[in-house]
Amino acid sequence: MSDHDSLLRAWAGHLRAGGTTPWRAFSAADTTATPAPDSVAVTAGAAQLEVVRRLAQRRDSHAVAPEVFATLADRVLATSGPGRGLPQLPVVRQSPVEIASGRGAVRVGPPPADPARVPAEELVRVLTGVLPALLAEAPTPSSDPARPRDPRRWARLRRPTARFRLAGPPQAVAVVRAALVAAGAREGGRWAPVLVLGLPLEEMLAQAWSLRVQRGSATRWFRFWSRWAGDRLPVSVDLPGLATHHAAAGSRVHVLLAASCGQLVPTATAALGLPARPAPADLPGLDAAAVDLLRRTNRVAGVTTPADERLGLATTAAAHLRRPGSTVRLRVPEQFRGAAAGRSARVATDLTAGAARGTYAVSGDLDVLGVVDEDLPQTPDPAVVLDRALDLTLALVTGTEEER
Amino acid sequence: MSDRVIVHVGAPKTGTSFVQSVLFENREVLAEQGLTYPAERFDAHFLAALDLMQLPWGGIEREAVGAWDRLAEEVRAAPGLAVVSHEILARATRAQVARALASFGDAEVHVVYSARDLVRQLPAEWQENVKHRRTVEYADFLDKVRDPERPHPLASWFWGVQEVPDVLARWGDTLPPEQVHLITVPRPDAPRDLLWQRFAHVLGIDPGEHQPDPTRVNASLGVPESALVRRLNTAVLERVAPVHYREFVRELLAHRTLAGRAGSPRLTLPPEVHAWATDVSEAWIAELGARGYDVVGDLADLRPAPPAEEFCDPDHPDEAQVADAALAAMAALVEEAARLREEERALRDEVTDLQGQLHEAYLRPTYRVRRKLVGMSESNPVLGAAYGVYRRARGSSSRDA
Repeated sequence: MSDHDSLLRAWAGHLRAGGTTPWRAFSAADTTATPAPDSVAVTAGAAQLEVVRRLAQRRDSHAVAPEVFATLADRVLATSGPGRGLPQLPVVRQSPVEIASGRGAVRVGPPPADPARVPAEELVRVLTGVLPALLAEAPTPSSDPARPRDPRRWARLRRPTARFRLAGPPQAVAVVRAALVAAGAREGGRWAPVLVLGLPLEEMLAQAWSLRVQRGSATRWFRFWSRWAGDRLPVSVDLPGLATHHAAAGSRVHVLLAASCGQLVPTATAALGLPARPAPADLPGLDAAAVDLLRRTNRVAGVTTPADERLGLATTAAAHLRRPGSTVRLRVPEQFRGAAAGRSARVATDLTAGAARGTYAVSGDLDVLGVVDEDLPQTPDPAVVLDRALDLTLALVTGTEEER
Repeated sequence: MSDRVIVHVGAPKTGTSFVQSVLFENREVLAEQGLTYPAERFDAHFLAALDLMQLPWGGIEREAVGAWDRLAEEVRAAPGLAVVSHEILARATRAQVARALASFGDAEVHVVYSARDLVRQLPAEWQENVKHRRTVEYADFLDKVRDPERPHPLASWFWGVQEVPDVLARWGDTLPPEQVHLITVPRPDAPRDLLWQRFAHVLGIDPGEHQPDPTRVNASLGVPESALVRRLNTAVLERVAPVHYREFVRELLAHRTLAGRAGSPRLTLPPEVHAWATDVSEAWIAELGARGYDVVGDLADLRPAPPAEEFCDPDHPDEAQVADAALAAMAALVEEAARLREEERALRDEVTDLQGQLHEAYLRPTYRVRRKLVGMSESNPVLGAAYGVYRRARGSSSRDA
């Protein structure tokens, strides 16, 4: 075994014992660390080793027992990044392996890498190779948040209660539902008016994307737009379609438009004649990084997990990844700006026509449909996705949900 | 339990499809001769490789869950010699190789890799990319592949499957060198069946007894045809689903219409890239010669021949030649559209006929009586019980009818 290999094995042993020294510092110092057992680390590349180091940095905050961490480290070291990406990168040494040629040296194999400089994207890829198995072993937590309970449900017996039904993008529906129930209204009932909730198109599509991913889809944000940039929209985003559908069934339909979920709440309470209520701020949801991690995990689960178990995996992961007040905030990809503007204008035109025919009522500014938030990123930040992946991995091995 | 396992790990574009064709088509005869090729479908080893490497592949990977373990189990159970073959296995990491080799139990494992010189592999690999929906221009592809840092997925994949010394190091480092077999693809002027003879030698079968199916050989595209398909990709990429692209662009146009058209200039390398590829190849030949592998053929086959013709750039092709290729493509698509329209018409006629038969059946008096009785059985307990007895008496197959 070469000096480099011996040093690498010692570093792997250091990491699986919970050490956090980066490779550069470790290899520069004399060390007496216990080498990793023969069975591990021989095949690991820079990305796998760095993932173990990053996990070790968070080990204490997740209270992972040493033996549990060592088992996790062995698992990571033995797992190659699934799918396509960079090849398994060898850890950099003083001089790369080169072979002589007529005009100089030709390197064989991928370029060696300093583990600390391996892109976050690659570290996430390694973790998505480990997550499906960890998710399969984890107990399934209570999946979706329970529907809010009306705190004044007994009072309903003594006085008439406003009823409602909701349609629209999922997060908006959840926020408005919680607010209306808290205000004393009751969901359901054949004759209840239907409130169709509308937001800027990019936000409605982000919520639809999030829901699809939570149900097992592996579609990227960009690809999701390319699918819906034509002449169709997801059902929950097709406001004229929803309004027309419910109106045709004989319901009173009121389309409410606002710039954000929070701003929908006062218009919804006003539409039902209820006293104004603040929007609930702490509903659990997934942010863009969490959804992106989940869709990457779904993609790998497609090749590792039987079809009838994939939804369970996504549900378990989503339950661990939800955080209070989180929601997907992403901007429409640049390539689809034109298509988004066109779709928004058409939805506005259709809603105006429906209102003019008296099929349903429309409240709010139709211009919000085309609003694009220039401050939002177009793609989830890989560094944040990595944070979520590391926390999820440690949460799964400790058997507890992430700190909320 | 198998005594010996041969794992053929590539490379792509080195005749792997025709070897797999021979092994698959003749698997029953070969089994009688002591060679097991465990595959119920032609792409069984492809699915196993996707599973081993956790490699999503346009949705087909969903059929691959557990495929490697199933294949390994069949290999372990096979008497004598078993063969596993797929070219994407060349991309496996050391961890995946370790899992694969361990899964064969105590059998003696031999790794086989077939290699062709870089000057032919680079254009072939770009053409494969073009036939798989990519829109990258040739010059851009070559730049990405030559970038020493290899950050682009195209370069990562290319070197992962084509870098002969690295592939053999990943697959062969834990094996004695005599169990690592490097088959070199002969030069273009060699006898046509020489490559097959080399494969047959390693597999221990009679090359004359089992001949490759010529339809499994992927003919290459000329320069204008490659340019046409790449341009077509830019036009249809977002509008045509992969399943339709596969049928109409890759199979109908690229393979059955445009490949091997007479008179089209052949795709080669620009002079400076040719020189670079020759340099890399020389280094590889020296390295491979020192490793002691079993070379079937001659390492000199990996030394590129000097440029024999002027480079013809597919990024700036002769537009008249592209137009000719486009005409041939349009003719093929019109013929196919007409064939499909005929098929649709026949199916419509069949549906109309069946609808007529169904309607006649409904009009029979006995049908109307039976239907009324079934309706009454929902509210009348006596009729309901009688109907239940009748259904049980007819049996389960009748209940679904």
